[in-house]
Amino acid sequence: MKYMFLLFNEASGVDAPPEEMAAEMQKWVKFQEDAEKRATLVSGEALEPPPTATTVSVRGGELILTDGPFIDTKEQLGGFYVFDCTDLDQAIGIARMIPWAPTGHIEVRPVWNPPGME
Amino acid sequence: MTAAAGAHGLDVHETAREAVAGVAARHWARVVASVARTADGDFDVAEDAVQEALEAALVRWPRDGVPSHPDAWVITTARRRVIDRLRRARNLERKVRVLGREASGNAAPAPDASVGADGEAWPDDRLRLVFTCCHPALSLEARIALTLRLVAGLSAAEIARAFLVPEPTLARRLTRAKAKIRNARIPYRVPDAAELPERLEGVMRVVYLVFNEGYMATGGDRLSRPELCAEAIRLAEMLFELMPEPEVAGLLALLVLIDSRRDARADGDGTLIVLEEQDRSLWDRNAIAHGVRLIDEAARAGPPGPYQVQAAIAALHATAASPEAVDWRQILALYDELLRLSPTPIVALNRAAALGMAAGPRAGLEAIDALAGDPRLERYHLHAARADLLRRAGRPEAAEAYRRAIDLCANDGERRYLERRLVEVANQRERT
Repeated sequence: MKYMFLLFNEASGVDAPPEEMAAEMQKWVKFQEDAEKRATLVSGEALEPPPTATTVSVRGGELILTDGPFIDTKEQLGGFYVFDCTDLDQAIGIARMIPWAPTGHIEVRPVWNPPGME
Repeated sequence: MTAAAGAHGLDVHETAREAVAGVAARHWARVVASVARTADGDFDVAEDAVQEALEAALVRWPRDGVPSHPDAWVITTARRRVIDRLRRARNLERKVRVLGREASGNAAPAPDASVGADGEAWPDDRLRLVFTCCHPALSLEARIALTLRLVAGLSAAEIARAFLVPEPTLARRLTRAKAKIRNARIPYRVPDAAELPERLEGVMRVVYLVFNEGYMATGGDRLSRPELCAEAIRLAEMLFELMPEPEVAGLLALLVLIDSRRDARADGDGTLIVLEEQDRSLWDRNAIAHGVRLIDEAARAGPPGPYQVQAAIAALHATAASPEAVDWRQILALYDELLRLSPTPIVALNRAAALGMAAGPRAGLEAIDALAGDPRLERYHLHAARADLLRRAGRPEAAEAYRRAIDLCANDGERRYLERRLVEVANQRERT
């Protein structure tokens, strides 16, 4: 059985200063090593902070974009995709094709690229 | 400046300062746009590099003389700084990509290269800049702020003053927008053909909103902010130069026609003077002729879009010799068309007001009352339009409608006009 772990916090930590970043990264590396002794890691990513998000929906055939993350207590998280796109326009183009775009919302958030890891 | 520097020393510094100011004033969008391309759409890096290049010019030009193409010198210098910075940057992938492109024949021109030699590339860069600043994944207020900063060249302080927000708020808005462009990778490009109509509409909306804020300030003690109107017209002119589409002509015509009444629409203490009471001799005839020419030419290209229709309405007002000569039937027909193209409550309200002028206040009031239940319609506009038609019909409820409009009015100059009308209708009631 696969389980998805959704991580919530007030600050994402990905924009921390370099000296704090190293110590922060250490914690995650250690967690991952310990966890992988117990179960198989399928995938995991850190995300860019919420202000980089764009919320995509389609209503009446028209594309609606909102700057920022999706905030609504009625709609529930129902799934996720990770696509490697050339830029945000391509990502929006894919988001609008998702079958839930006409009824729900798709939050498009860039996956964080750690400095020097590209 | 010491006496030893003498008159000559003062001259070269003065000349250099003027040349630098000239580049910043006349070529800002061009410079930022082409440097931003080198910076791969990182506007923070581009802006800093342009600033440093302008500062370098202040040091170099008094010594070496002002180059024959000062804007090309600034672009080249700024691009070199961008490349230096990218070399130092940790972002390896981006560095390789940009340097690869520079090496593959898209190199920066030599310091004195003629702008004309590379002329084909400039307009595209300014379009890239405009479309990126107006990207719909940014909030509308961020799009407006970015466009005024990076395309129009206004300072953060000037934009903050124009929109009555504290400067730190505006600065944060700009920083956040630039960070989103960089981190979410909003591309620095002109959208492809499939997206272009929708995206161009978004750009035109930003320009229109800048003009609108200048034309009827939403707060503060001034009726209008003519400097914002002038910036919006400059933006529309640039857009029309780069993309001579009929609707862009329509937008430019609309702004020019409305702006032609600038000197007639307020009295000495800034109270609004409505169209029919304006001194028509104060209207700018050249601007009117320019606007009419633009929509005539655009109309030949095919069925008009919403900006062209609005410009046609503005032109009918602008070319009427007197308030009595206004062709309200024709204006009503244009509002019918506009309502078909953009069925929004504010267009429906304006159409109802035109109906009141074309077919009598009663018909207009009936149409307005039919709209009153629409929650999207701003109450202020509703009450102001009702008050006007009730007054024309000589109905006593006009006073109450004026009171409600006054309560909701956010513009001092407009409120003083409404208060004058309220006094008029109240006096009339006493006399009868």
